[in-house]
Amino acid sequence: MFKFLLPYVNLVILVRARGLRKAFKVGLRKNKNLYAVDGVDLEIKVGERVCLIGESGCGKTTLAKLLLALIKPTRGKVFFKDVEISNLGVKKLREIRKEMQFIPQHPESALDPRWTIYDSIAEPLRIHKVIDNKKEERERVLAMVELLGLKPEHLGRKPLDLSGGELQRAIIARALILEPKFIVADEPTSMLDASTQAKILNLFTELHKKLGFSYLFITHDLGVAKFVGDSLLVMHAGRIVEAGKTEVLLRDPLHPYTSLLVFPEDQRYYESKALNEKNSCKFYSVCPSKRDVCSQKDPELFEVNKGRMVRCWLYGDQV
Amino acid sequence: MKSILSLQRIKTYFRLDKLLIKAVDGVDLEVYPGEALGIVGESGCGKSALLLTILRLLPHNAHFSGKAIYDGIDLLGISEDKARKIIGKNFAFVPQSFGASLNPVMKIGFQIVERSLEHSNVKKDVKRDVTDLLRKLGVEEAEKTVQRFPHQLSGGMKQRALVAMGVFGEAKIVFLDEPTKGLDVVKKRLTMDLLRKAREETETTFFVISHDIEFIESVASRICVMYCGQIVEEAPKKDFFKKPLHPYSKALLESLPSRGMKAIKGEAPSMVNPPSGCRFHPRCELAEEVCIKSEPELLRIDNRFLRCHRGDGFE
Repeated sequence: MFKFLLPYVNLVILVRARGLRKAFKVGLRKNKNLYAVDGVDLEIKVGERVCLIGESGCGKTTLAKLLLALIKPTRGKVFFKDVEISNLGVKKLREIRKEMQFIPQHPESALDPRWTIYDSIAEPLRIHKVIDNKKEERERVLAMVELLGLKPEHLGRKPLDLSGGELQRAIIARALILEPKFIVADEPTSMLDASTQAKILNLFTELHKKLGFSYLFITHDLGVAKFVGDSLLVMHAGRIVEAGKTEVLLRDPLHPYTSLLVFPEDQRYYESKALNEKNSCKFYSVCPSKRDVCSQKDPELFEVNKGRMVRCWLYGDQV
Repeated sequence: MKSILSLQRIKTYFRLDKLLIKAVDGVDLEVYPGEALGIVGESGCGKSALLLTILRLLPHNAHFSGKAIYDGIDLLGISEDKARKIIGKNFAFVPQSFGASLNPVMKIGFQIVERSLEHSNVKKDVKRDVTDLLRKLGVEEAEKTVQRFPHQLSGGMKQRALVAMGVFGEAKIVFLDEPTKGLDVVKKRLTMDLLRKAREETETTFFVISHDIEFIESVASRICVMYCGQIVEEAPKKDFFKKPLHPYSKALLESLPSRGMKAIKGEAPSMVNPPSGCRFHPRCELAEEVCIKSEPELLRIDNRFLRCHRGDGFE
């Protein structure tokens, strides 16, 4: 019955999402549906570094939560190592959760203010009962803390006594202590200074080399995206609008929305308006290069080159 | 040129139990009319404490000394009530986190003019002035917008309203505290555009605090770098970004994603016991004996100021 727990050694794809949608009830009588994530397909391979960009409110965080099975999707499925996790019960989920971890955006609110840093980092070990004695627990925490460049004296302190950078290190330590296979980092450095950000990101990419986990890194800073991701996903209005290798994508963006993000000088600021027509492209109202077909039919994700996907009618007829 | 606001030897200390935190430790700074002065530095370097000192908004456990001379009056030397009147009339303050700083039960139009009404420096056609200003900042239906409440506005509209709030009513100096903190690329760009527009439309002086150097680069005309409660470098924007003189400024620029993302070694020093001599010496790659022993002065080099023993002679 615990077939899904078998180790899948030669598996290439670690996380897979198929037709993922999440609706939130909005409006005065909670009778309207707001699709925060609206049909997302994605695959993350073992050891892959994926970066997700998009402006605030486009559904990045909701997608992250769906992938980690923290919330249930309205439609669609999430697979982790070929096991569907979007409909698992709490107990089975807990076994899976050992292998996937989350690094939140606000380090100051992600730790219990009454707990010492040591307890916060050791908590995952206790929850999953990985370790049976205190001595071993201490050894593992110390080893992890050293890896992250924190000092042992930090361990006895409470979150209030640590700086933003130190807190973020503690949170990364907590995420890594179970040696997860998959990590979602939700804008972990957007609240930090440039110099602290540089430190944390350098550390994070080094840890990736050492420990070999896969990650999905959410950010809205293109410079950061270039640094941390091999491949890049661009999200707009709950959908992936463009995907490809980071370098190629940023050098030569295909989707009008991506070029707007990458080359700000060319375009004016826009504010996306909520579109009522269900069957038009979500970017239609502000798109600089719209066509007739864009208002009539919602584009699919077209494959332009190998590994390069664009959700835009401009590239639709090439397929 | 004569300065509009002159800060002289400003010190702000916070007392916490037995600790004395030296948040601002001797800041001399001249603010010139019409410029946009950008203050940069890591969090905890005393930027915000400096701003709160000038605006007399410090909590009660703070002690401050020094002078902030505006229009011949020392704002730190007079009583809080008197200072408030001068500050309210001539200065405007745009706080960070734009979503939370608007009053949810008051109409936008009123919130924009409130400071001016309070200090009675409004002209007759307030309504027209507000709508004109909003239109200049890119609000299409300005008449409708002033009648709305914050929850009816999009994020971009709120940001525009906040900038309008700062500029409206002929504020002599507009203070902005981390205007881009937590904003995404698109909204950040909008804020840059708005501030640039506001500078073109008015003759107001801007005093912008941020740790976002790319943002400061696009809006400021002069840069001032703070480190551990002190100013370490002050320079016109072009010169600063072409060639930062202080080792800290250099390291700060190199830590940007666009400039190599090299981290500054070491941690920011404690404000309780700042390092001896030059405060940057424990993290400085060029530190020498003299840097540990004696504290450098803020000295003038051509059109800029620098606090470093090496002067501009290092390469």
